[in-house]
Amino acid sequence: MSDQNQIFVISEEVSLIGELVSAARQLNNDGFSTIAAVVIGDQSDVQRVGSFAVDQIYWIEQVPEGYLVEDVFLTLWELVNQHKPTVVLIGATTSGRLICGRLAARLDVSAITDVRSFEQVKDGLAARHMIFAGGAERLERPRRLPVLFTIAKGQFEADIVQSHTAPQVIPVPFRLPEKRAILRERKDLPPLSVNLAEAKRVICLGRGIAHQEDVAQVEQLAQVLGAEIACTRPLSEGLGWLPRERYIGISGAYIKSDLYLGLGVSGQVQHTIGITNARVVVAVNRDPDAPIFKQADYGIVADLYEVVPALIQGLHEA
Amino acid sequence: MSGDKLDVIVVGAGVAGCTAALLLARQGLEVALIERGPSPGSKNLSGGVLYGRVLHQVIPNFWEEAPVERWITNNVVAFLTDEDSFLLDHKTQAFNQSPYNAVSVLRSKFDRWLGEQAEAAGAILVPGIKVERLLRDGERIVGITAGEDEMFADLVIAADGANSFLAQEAGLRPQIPQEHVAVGIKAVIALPQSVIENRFRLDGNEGSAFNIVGSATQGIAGGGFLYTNKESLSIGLVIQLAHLIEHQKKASEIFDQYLGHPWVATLVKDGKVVEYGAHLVPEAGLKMMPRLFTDGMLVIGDAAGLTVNNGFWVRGMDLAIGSAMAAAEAAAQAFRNKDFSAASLAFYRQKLEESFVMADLKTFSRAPHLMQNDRLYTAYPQLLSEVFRQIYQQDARPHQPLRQIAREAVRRGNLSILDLLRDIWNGGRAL
Amino acid sequence: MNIVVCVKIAPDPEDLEIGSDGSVSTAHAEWSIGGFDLPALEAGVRLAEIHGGKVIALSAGPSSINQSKIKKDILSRGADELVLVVDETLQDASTAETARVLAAAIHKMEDVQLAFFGEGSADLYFQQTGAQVGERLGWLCLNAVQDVRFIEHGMLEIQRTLDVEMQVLDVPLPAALSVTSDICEPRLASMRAILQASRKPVIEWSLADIGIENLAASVEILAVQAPPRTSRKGVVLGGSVEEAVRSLLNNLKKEGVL
Repeated sequence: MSDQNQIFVISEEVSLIGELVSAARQLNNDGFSTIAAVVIGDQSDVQRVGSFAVDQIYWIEQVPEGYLVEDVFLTLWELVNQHKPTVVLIGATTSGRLICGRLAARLDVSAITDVRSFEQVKDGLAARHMIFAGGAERLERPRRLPVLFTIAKGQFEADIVQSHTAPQVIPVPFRLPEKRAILRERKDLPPLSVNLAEAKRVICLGRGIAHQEDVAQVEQLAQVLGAEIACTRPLSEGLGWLPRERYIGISGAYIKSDLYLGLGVSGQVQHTIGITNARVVVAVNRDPDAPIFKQADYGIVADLYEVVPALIQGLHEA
Repeated sequence: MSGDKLDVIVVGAGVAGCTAALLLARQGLEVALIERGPSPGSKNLSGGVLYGRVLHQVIPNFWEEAPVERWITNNVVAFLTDEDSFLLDHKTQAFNQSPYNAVSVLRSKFDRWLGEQAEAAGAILVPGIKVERLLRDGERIVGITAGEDEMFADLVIAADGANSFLAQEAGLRPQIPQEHVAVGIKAVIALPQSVIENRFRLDGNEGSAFNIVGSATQGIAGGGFLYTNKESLSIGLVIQLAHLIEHQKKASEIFDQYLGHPWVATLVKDGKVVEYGAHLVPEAGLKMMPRLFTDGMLVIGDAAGLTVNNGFWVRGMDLAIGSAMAAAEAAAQAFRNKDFSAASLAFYRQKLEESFVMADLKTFSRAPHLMQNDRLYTAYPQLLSEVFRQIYQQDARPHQPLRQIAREAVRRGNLSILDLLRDIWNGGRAL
Repeated sequence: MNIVVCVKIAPDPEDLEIGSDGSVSTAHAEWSIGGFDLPALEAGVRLAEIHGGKVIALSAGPSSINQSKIKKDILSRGADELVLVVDETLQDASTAETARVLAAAIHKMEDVQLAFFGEGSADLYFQQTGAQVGERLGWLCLNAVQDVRFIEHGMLEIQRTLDVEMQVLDVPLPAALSVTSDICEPRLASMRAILQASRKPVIEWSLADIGIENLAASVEILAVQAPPRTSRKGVVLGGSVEEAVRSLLNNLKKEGVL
């Protein structure tokens, strides 16, 4: 067992581990490596991860009081040093990014972050990463081992395998770091109002929306359509009309919905990168030259303030 | 430099401002060059031809390092009717060799380079800052303010362009009356180098400059220009603002029609508009010239109303450079004598008078009036077109003698012989 | 105690040119300071304004970073000094090389115990540099920092915003902090600041100056292309608003979306 290559899969979020395992399996289609998950949690977490059909689970029971989840780094480092996995997949959360960076520094490798897909190339494993704010995609191959990737939620789908061999569970004690930041206070932020990645239908508001009050009008349409409301970055980060989790774009949400309806969205690449996986894209914009029309299946060149009531009426009649 | 005082503050990093800053820095003076755009050239618009011999005096062989487009070897005057054209087309190899008579330039690239030369000479470029007010000590100008900051200097040089508010604020020039101002509208249209060379019959880095008169401006006083760059065309119109208002037309409308004129359209075919802008052009020459200096301040470039448009060429940049050179000489003397009073700075005006700048402005002082003559834009292109069509036409009937053709064409055009003679006389004097 | 702020000078993503064959080029792009680095610089400057010490701006890259306009821009935003590590091999450097160079440069500086980083570079956005540099220096590393203040000598209190959690932490120096883009609003340079910028020192180091002989590339870049666009129908529905809407609803029904 110790002779076989290992792929390590790490995240403080158990659900994300499932997605990472699917990614690992894709990497491992020659079956050459075993997949080992590093789990920080309790027995039920271990069982859940087991259902993803991993070969090993390194179980770190819990983060001691006053310590951060990132403080698991020392433990992780020892595991990586001991077992020398050839690939390490880390969930791209804030904590994951930090752990990844520290690991990359100690290993003297470059991590490829927010990997969207990968392929086996002549000399090894290459992965795709977005650059220039979504304007381009780079395919890069790490030259040194271990390969370090971070993968964001929603890029791969977790598979629950019905019958599988029970994984080997190895408890690992939490090694306390000497130097650390001391957690004085923590507060749960209000839960995210929506997970756009799961929405079946999405109505997206762009700069064409003139006033914050108009969002209410669109909410009416959203109700009739059974859709979630989303927006482009300026309406969220700039104007603050909608919370951060509602904006679609390069550093925001990526959707996979059946329907995307853009109202007053111009179609800049930093935004449309988030809708490439939507099944049907509809755009409404006053400007016939707006780039969104080339990236839509159906477009209406008109004032959205006229189209929205007409849509509501049309849907009621249907 | 003592504390927060500089030697000279130059406001505006266009061609005049950059040249002045460069020359002053070379004299060892501490110069700040303040520009409201993010970089020199970002807020400037020219037709795009620089008569470069004067810059050659400041930066010898500047074309070797500067981002210049083409050497202007072909100069064309085109008279257009709605469907016809009549061209005077001159090409000379004399303009195809160093030192080049004229070069086409793109201001955003060119001014940026010129600003870098000023910096290399030691001037301090201060971009992204809009000067708001002048600072005074009694009657004397002692500095400027921008935002919350004040900057003091022995000498302020206003190079802030056609609508110079500094010259106004200093009391050197009143609000510019409409009839002295034109609107310049310009587009840069990208075309592949080979297409340009083919279409305009240019070999290597040769270039063409067109001055266009007639129906291009829908009969409104003004002229069109078209210059060839390496991989683009600079094309535009200069229209008298007063006439525009009188005829109740929008500049952009006229520009679109201009691009659609059959003769113009063939030249810009398949090109892609990559830049578009409009800018004020001081047009009245001598008539509009403000007072050029006061205690502690000089005015140079477009801010001093230094442009000439005689229908054959439009010059602004070379006059700007000439004025910067005169200003630098006046500044040198002022610093030598530690005297920044108007009396001392009057040396600037003197240097200007001695140079080609004032001489050309005087020579072409009647050109603005000529350019406002409506007949130039309607009747004469029509006349020329008519006459030459008749000359070339052979329709199996007896061919009329030239003098008869001309007489009838004049009559048909509702022109009086008197007007014709007067215009020829004035034209002769103006040019 | 001095603060170093790492900034990346790179081609502006807005100036990217995409060819009809999907190729991308930055040949005509303006180089500029990364948008996410400006808040980091501002944060460092504000902290130094309260507690004293110099702010040293640090950047590493090929010769294109050495432009007068950019250097002046950085120095006009409150940095006291600018250190540039210039080497052509840093063109398209991956995170390991960048971190190695920046860590070596910081190591050479005097009395620096605190380093600020933006949340990611404007062009590549790996979001790794702060963590990698900090770890190489052996300092405490934290990301998603939204607020920083000194509570005593050698100890910071920081606020950190993770996906669903907010943390307040005591952080002993030395530390490397990657800050969020909303940590503070970067200042607009005043005329005075721009003038003063031209008098501030700019120090240039080569790789040899910071003790690096050989910077082997840790990653092979195989391709750079415009991302594949899902091909769309591009149908524009004409007619009056009512007609277009009716047509749209019909089409959506046919697509099985409604």
